Amino acid sequence: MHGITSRTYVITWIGLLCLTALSFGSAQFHLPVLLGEVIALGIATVKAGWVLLVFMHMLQSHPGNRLALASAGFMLLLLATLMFADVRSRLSPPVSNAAQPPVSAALPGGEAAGMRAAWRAQ
Amino acid sequence: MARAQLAEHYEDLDKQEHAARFGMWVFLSSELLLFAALFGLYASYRAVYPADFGRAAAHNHVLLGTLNTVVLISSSFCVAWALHSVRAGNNRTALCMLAVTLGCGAAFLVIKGIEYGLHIEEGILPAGYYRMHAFDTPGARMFFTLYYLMTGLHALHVIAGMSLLTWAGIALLRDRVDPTRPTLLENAGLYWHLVDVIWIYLWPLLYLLR
Repeated sequence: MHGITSRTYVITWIGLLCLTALSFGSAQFHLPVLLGEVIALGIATVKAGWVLLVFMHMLQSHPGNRLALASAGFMLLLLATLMFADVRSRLSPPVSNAAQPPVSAALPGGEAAGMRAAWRAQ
Repeated sequence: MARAQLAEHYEDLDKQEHAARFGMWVFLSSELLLFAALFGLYASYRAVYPADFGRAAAHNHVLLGTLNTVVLISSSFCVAWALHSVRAGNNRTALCMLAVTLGCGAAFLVIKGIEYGLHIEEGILPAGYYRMHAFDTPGARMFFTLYYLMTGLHALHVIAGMSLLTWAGIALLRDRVDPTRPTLLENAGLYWHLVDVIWIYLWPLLYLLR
């Protein structure tokens, strides 16, 4: 019905395992943080896309189903980006390890108060 | 051979099957948004505590995490193969593949349990219960709290997925899955694949980005 052959499923499985090995291997090198993040999340996105296209038959699926997923993807990006922007704008600049007071020195009021104190202490 | 039953409020089986699949995709989309909040929190606090998050990820057991990735990807392949077999009229192979998938799900939970046990021994617990004095910073606490939240929620989804697949397997065993319209198995499989896709992102975030 979906026109996907047994061979395609097997190739996808082996391909996903190879990408897992590639991701694991690349993490063993001491790459710059941003480059490491881009590689790891890039490989993860290729793997997720492969699962969606072959195992979940996304291409053969009804357009309405694809629209539901696309909407969720858009909302996911929007939610994650706005949340990231919110926390970053209130708590930036990043707290370096050297400047952090011990947790016991954090102000009462929870984690956010502790972080604000750590930030002000810099 | 089983034949799908038409509910009275549908005009035909095609529309009924489409509604079931569309409902599943909408549900999966809502599941994505549930995890989106946690991914957003992870990204935010990683930006605030980059060094701590890297050090905490390095403290995780990368081999156990990688093993779980292999287990879950293989289980996803087995579910896809099971659906493929049902469509080809080979229910016995489909049942075997479902059994392997359930075994993979159980193995995933056991490995995750071992990992939790190792963490607890070290005093790595979420939020205020954190007791690892050798690495006690707000960033470490935040990382491991998110680690427990994300992997715990994911583990609950693994259990839910195993339950759905068991249900589909029993229906298959009782010849209640139509080979031309195996929507029950298809939807259970979609849920399982989503569980796999979420782990595909959790693995690098929690184990590889040091």
